[in-house]
Amino acid sequence: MIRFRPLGRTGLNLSELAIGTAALRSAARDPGEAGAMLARALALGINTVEIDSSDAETATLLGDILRREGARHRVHVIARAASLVPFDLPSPHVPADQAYPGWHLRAATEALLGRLGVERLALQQLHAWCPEWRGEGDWRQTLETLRAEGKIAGIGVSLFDHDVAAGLEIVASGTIDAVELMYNVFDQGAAAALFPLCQGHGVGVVVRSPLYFGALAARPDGAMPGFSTEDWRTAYFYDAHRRETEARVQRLAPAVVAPDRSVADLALRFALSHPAVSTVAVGMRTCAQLEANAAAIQRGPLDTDRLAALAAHKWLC
Amino acid sequence: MALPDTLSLPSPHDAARDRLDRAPLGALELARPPLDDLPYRDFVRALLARQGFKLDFNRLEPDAALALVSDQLLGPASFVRARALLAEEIATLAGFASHLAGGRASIAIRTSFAPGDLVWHVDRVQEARAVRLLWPIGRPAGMRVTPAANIDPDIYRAYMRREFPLLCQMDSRVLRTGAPVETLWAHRPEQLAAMTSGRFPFLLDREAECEVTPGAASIHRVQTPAQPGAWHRSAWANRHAPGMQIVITAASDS
Ligand SMILES: NC(=O)c1ccc[n+]([C@@H]2O[C@H](COP(=O)([O-])OP(=O)(O)OC[C@H]3O[C@@H](n4cnc5c(N)ncnc54)[C@H](OP(=O)(O)O)[C@@H]3O)[C@@H](O)[C@H]2O)c1
Ligand SMILES: [Fe+2]
Repeated sequence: MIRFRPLGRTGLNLSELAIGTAALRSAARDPGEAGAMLARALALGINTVEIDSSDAETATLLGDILRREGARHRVHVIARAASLVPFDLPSPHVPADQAYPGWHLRAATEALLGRLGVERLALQQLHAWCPEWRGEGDWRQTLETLRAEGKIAGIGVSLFDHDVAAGLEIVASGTIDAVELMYNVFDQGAAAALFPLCQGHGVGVVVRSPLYFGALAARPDGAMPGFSTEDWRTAYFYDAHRRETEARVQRLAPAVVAPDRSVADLALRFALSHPAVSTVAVGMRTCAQLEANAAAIQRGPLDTDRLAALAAHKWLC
Repeated sequence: MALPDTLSLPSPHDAARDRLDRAPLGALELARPPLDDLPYRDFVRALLARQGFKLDFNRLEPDAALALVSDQLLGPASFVRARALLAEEIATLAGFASHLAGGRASIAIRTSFAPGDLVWHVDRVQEARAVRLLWPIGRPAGMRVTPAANIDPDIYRAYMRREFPLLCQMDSRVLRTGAPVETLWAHRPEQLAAMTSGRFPFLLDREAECEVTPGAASIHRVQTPAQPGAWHRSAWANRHAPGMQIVITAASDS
């Protein structure tokens, strides 16, 4: 049974498991498998998809599946806009009206709606959020107008990897509906202050990268899969990073107990365990991955003893 | 290894500018007397005995800015003569930096230690030409400098994607609470070891670094859209004795 949780005060109920589409970009080369995975997810009752608004290829693929499955009216799409100015790291020196001018947010939202063929997105968000942008530019006004027009249900910000501190002020201001962030066994940072703040202000939480980009879904011996040369993870997991990650994944193996079958199962249930979390977006490409992830999520949150034991595995916070 | 390029003040501005442009590491050392020989040493020591702080002078002249911190931390009208002498010295150095960059200088002083400085980096501004003059008074170790060619750019980018937000968080926690880095990062022994040793995975040759003579000042190129910056880091030895760091950044768009 797929369970649902509210997305803050938007009135939407999201499936606890959301389809992360970052990995589908490469899967678009094998649209058959990707399409089958998406169709199967809808059939299982999963109603939430996370997508980068600028990823036209994935949006088109998703739009085709939604039309074919007759699912346009029952899917909640969590969108992340891309900055007009490219940057590697959060860049407060780029003002909000250059990174996210209102016209750009409107254009990205409307283009995505068109490609998907849906009437309303669950969320539109500014990615790599910088607290300096809060009072700048016309992004807020634009998103509020889009919300009033019924084109989005909620306004959100998406935090750069490990940058939970960037979300504190805006969540406390009570002016957004949701925040998206990385949360996993290695990066438990959000649990300290941000999650309680979200609960206090009725702000929804979209967890991403619960498997640390796939590293927590390593083979049973802890070895990470080899990534292709075009895969950005090849550069991200340079030798020393890969070695340390694999060693840390191996150390998690003894924590896997039935009914969980793998570190990935444990990691997904960990990400779901905090009550502030609305949905967990997992990057997936294949039906096998979907079935495994859905089975893990359906076993629900971990008990307090197992959660407490996982505190010793934090690393990237 | 000591920094190969040194300069002593006063130095003709054009010659100094030329030297900095040609310096292979993008940095020059400027000789400075040791703290014991400075006429304002007691003033500096009194400030160092207080809780760590950071102050941007903004529009304030050096004497007004020093009066502000001094009045606040040491009581009104203390060290009047000493702080005037130090202010004069800072103004001279700011004038020098400002000539090198051909633009206005902004000044900051700080007695707190930012652990993020332990990671190799270039300083960056948006203007076209920029230099930074650092004068660490009473720091046990000098700034380390390494050639740009010694940094693997792909690993550096990946490293910073993972570490940059964590470094920013640590800097603000250390400034706010004074908590030791070893405690804050007890769960990250490999990253802590890199901070203490300066040996990061993106360095091609881990021995290839020069040290500015402790107590000396230095001036280095800041990265801009028009020029490469000097790669540098602070040293672990400074974390318990951050001294008083005078930071002067001068930049221009011409
Ligand atoms: N250039 C960049 O910086 C860049 C590029 C793309 C994405 N991103 C970011 O990274 C995020 C993508 O990561 P994510 O959030 O999707 O990470 P994630 O959920 O932690 O991990 C997703 C990866 O885990 C693997 N996986 C999922 N289920 C599995 C299973 N049951 N068994 C084995 N492996 C499984 C898949 O890897 P395989 O695909 O290898 O099977 C999948 O791509 C995006 O949200 C985006 O923000 C950044
Ligand atoms: Fe620096």
